[in-house]
Amino acid sequence: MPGQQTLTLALRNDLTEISRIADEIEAFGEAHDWEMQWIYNTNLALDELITNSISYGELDDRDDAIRVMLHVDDGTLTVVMEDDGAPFNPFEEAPVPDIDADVDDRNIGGLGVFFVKTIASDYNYQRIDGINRVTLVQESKEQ
Amino acid sequence: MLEVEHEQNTLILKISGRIDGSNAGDFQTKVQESIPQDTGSVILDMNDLIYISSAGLRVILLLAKNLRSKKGKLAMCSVAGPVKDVFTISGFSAIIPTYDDRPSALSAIA
Repeated sequence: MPGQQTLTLALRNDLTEISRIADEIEAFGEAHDWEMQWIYNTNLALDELITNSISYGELDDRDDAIRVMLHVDDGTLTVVMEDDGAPFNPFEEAPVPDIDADVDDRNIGGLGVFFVKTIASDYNYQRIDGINRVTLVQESKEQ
Repeated sequence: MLEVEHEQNTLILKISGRIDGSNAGDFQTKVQESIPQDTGSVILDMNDLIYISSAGLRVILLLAKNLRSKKGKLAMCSVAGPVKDVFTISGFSAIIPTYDDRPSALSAIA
């Protein structure tokens, strides 16, 4: 996967957007010979973050309530997601899941953000001028 | 998304396609509708499941809790590829017995 590639997506404040952009990301990744893990993990991370954002972020109803940018440079995939919702740092404020708990004691809270942290080699959150910006980095495993 | 089958007095829920934040609500409704009050054993057959996120795992956890409260049994089978990674990372593979294929799951819990 040589060179640079960029995909920019705008999402409405609607959960059905998740499956729409999953199809777009899959098509883009396949067109650029991405490893399968990148496609699956990117869709998983965005699914989790977008679901949180739309469910709790009180976003505006407009065509670009959430903006996503995917950029590949030299075997590194960077995903940036922005929204204008309520300030929320998923990496600090989401509950920490107890992944060793048994069925009776198990709670699902925080699992989505835990997935995001697990698949990304680097992640961070910034609140800039009223915008939530989450950045995720994935390194190619094929190099 | 969900097909209901019966084999050896066991309810088999065959999950297929994508379960994500946009359709997990439908998935939850379908799972709830397919579970009779007195069901003893349920197998989740994941052979045709290509994608699941935490919203889908939440539904499976609720099912596991529901069956546990009724002394029922729950098992999963045919979990593969990236979906298997999700079940491993989440710890779900450790709390819900998981088998390579449907016959193994049936012989274990039916």
